[in-house]
Amino acid sequence: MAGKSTLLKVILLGDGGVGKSSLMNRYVSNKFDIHLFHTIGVEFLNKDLEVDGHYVTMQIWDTAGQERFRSLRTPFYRGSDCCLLTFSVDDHQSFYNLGNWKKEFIYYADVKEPENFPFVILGNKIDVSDRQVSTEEAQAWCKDNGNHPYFETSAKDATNVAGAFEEAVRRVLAAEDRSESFMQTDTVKLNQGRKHRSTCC
Amino acid sequence: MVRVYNCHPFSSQQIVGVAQEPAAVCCGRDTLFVLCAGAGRVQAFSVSRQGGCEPLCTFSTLGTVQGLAYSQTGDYLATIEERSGILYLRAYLNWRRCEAGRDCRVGVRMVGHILDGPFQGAPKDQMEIVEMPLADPPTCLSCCPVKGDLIVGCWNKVVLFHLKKQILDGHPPLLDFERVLILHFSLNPLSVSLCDGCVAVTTDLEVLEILFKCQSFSPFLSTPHLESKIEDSPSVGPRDGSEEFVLFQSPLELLDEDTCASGVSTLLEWTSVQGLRTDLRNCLHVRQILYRRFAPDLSHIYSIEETALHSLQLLPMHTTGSEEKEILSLFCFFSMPHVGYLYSVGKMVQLLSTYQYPEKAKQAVLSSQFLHVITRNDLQCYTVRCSAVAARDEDPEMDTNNKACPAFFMQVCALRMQLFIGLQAACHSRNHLILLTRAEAEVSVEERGSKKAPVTNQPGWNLYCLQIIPTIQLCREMVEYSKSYEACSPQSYVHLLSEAHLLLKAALLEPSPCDPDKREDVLSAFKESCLQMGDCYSRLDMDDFHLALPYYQMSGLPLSDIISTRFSWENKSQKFGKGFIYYLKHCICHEGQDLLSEEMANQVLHVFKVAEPTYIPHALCSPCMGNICLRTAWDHLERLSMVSPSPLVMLTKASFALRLQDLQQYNTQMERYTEMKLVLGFVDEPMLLLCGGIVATELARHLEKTQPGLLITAFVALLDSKKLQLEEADLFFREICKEEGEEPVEPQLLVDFWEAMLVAGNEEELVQRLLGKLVSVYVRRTAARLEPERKPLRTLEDLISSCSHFGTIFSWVNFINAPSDHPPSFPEDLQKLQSLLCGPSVDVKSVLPLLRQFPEDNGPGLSTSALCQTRLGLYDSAVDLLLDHCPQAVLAFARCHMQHQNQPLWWKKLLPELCRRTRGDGKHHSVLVASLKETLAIVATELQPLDFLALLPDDGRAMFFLPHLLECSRKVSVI
Repeated sequence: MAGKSTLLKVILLGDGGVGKSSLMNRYVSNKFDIHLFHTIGVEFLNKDLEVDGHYVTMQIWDTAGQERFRSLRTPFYRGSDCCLLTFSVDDHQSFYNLGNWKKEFIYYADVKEPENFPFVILGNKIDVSDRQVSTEEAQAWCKDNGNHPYFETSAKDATNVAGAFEEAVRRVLAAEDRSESFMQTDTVKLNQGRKHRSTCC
Repeated sequence: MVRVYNCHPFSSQQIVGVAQEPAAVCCGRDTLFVLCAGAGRVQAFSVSRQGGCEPLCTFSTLGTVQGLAYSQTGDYLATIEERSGILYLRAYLNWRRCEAGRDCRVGVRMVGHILDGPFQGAPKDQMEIVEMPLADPPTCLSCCPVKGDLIVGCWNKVVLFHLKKQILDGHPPLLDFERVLILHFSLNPLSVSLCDGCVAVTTDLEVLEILFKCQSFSPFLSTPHLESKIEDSPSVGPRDGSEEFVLFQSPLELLDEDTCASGVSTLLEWTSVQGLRTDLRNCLHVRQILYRRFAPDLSHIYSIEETALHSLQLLPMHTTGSEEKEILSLFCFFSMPHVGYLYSVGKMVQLLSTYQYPEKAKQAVLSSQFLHVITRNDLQCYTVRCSAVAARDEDPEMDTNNKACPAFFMQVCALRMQLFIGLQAACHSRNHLILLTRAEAEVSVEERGSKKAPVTNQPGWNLYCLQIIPTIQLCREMVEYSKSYEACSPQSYVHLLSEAHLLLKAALLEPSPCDPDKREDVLSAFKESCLQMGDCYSRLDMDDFHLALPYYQMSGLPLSDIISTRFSWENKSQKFGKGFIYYLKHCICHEGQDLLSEEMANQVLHVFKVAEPTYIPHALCSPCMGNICLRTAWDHLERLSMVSPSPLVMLTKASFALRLQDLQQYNTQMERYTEMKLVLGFVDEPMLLLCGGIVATELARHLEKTQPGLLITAFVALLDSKKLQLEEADLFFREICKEEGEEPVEPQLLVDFWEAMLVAGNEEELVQRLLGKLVSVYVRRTAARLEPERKPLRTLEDLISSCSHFGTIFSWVNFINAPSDHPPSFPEDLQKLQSLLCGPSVDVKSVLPLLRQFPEDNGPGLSTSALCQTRLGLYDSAVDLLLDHCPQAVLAFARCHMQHQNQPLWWKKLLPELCRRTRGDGKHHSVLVASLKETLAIVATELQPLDFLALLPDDGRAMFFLPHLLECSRKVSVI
């Protein structure tokens, strides 16, 4: 376990059933359960990791995607360091809703400079054959909506999951203006000027 | 003044295995939370009874923790956290689920969003964080140790959250909070404490304590209401002072009712739905019970921060062994840098102790037994007086002959001052003290300047777990230690013993369910301590020597054990100190004391011979001394009578002479003094006559046979001096007369006693009771024609001459008594009854029901009935009664009673009645005619002729009446 590390709050948003909890479980526990229950309210998990020589504790916040749980999840957007907007490539509606999720996040998280806030877009369930959203369509949306990095993942096959979360960390670390508000800076010297190459598809 | 001793309150010291430097620590009863500096991580340990802290789990906080509090009820950790410049209030529930080394999902929800109704699913067995949004940033927080409620201090208010428990079938209970009320006041709380209905807050230099009182109590549970303005006293002056100067108000202490003058205004705002109920609104009272304001300690001032109050705590103590956490007493502690203050805020609000620290204190931790104070380089352990207050709150018998407890105002005592480098923080967990140290010197200027972190393998910090030594062991040490003070400083000796006693008392009041064996051990140690206290107060020549009695009583040891131990003591001068003699006297003379063995009784006698010879007669009269060697006792009395003879000594000698069957000696002793002097002897020691309540002694039995008069006089004197009740005396006399075979309902001796009491008594209520008893006896015996079994001590003449309640019997009564059909052998009771009825005191109405015992027409019945009628003023009926049954008496009756304003009865009642009755010729005809003549003669002298004429019957013989008419006329003509 890392002695002293930076705590990053990363929040997973997206329609119900797109696989947010499965992504988190795959990343943290390397497990996949096809019969996972709906998430109720908000839950989080801590994951210690080292990215490019930096010790980081990633606090992954998993939220309930259903509309009826809105009041339970929105109070906890504040203080997020990164937002992972998730949709399912076999569900066109979940892709259309990305814009709404982004708006909801920016509104409730009270983000001061939305254009500079690190969002990462995840297209999950690429293992299914019946795909409704193409990679190009998704990339185009990311480009038009703030040039966010886009990852295609499969929680079931563990495809690209770790890469996506690590990219989220890099995005945060890269955001120069946010580095001063980190909880702990005593032990970790952040190399703030360093650029990371995205591994987007 | 602080008495400083050098005991050893800590048995061991271990290092708690935390990996990262702790920023803060917080304790529950068996749990320790360590907040890791910087990392937003909390490590939980279980603190075992045997010492040592075992890691339980580690969990992360959502932000940088700035304040934390743990609640045993609900098992939750509440925090004030900062993230991105915003302060949050959160509670960590079910944290034990975070097992070490496992990735754990953690549920997060806002307060009030309990997962029921539409959200209902199977509650997950995982940690949960509840966030409670606040309008103002929180500054301080505290949990109620009784109910688990949470209180949070903000800018100028405190917010109360009630801990709610929701039970779903087959699942662990769901916990949530409800914001119940907000208390606004004109203070800015820096620390807060909550215990049941009591809230304490401090600012830099002010302490305020507020009590919520509600009929159905638990104000945070059932009685909220909306915006109820409880008090709005005007705020005093500018609290912040002017722009350029810092103004300090003068120091002030206000207790109880006076606290309303504190100038702090309070306003209650209800924030829950139940608050709309007006019936609940009226039952809650908010009262300030303690306010204290300090001036900055200028002798030590460096900055205002350095003089600020700290370590605010509310400490409850519970009823002994109560399952329900019923609060017995409540205490409040707070500390200035150099002085700590402990108040009792339960039934009474008062300052218990002031703790002067030898150097500036960083923090103080209060428990029911100790106050631990940390300074920069010192750990100090003081005793506290909470159990002295709780013991008194618990037991109303405290501070009587039966129970005692050291006073709370004893001098403050430091058991130990121990060097401890770099102390930063302390917390208390049942029988452990957790200490955080940090070597400040290691953080050099150079390091700070280079912003380099201290090297982790050379920690300048440590977390210690000190085990507090078991109470019994510490008390033994204190008692042992006290002996070194016994000779040179008796005050310190008593002080240490008292401190040990209070520690044991506190251990007994401890509500934690310790195993029964342990409680038994503490109890027996407590009794041992009582014995030591008893010995101490009985041995030394102390002002409070009388405390020996209650402590010895509480020790549960029998008198014989205490005496025999004492005889083994070497120091003769201390053997029989005032306290011991006080105790011994009380035991000897107290009923219920077991019979002492002969050896023990002789020893008691020896004690008194040495310490207080004049008490020997009293001791010898005690029933518990029944086994005493009679000869030895006699010798002691002989000696005493030479030195200081007195009626008491002689009577005691007489009583022993009787027991030795030496009648000659007995008579010699009894003749030494007059009866009156002897009576004084009996009053001095009633046990000469009766013991064990009403049992007659041999002397009493002898007197009953030989000098009943003396016995009765003695009892009258005993009642007079309030050493005996009338009922007890009654029982005594019934008892003493019992042996005479078929015992009468009221023996004559008892009647004699009542008569004697009546002669002596002047208390109206007592007189009436005695009169009732006597009338009842006289009536019963007369009606049943019973004779007293012995000759009464007082004749009627005696009574009439010595006692105003007995009147001279009216002459007409003698006409009724005269007839020979009544045997003359027992006229005494009847005559006494008649005499009482002729006297002024008897309540006739209470006599009437008793008269049914008499046959109507016999003499006693007639006389008493007639007397009663007369006393009631019913002369007409009395006349009728007499005319019917004993006309001979009528004229005497008329002469006696028909005078003055009753004179008209002669012609209105008697004359017409006689005229009517003489018409027939019954057996009393001649008597009636004679009476008529006499009556006519009297009426003739009193009335005018015409009036007289009008009275005369129409059918009478002129020859009979004419002379009287003539007489009447002559009188007029003469005039």
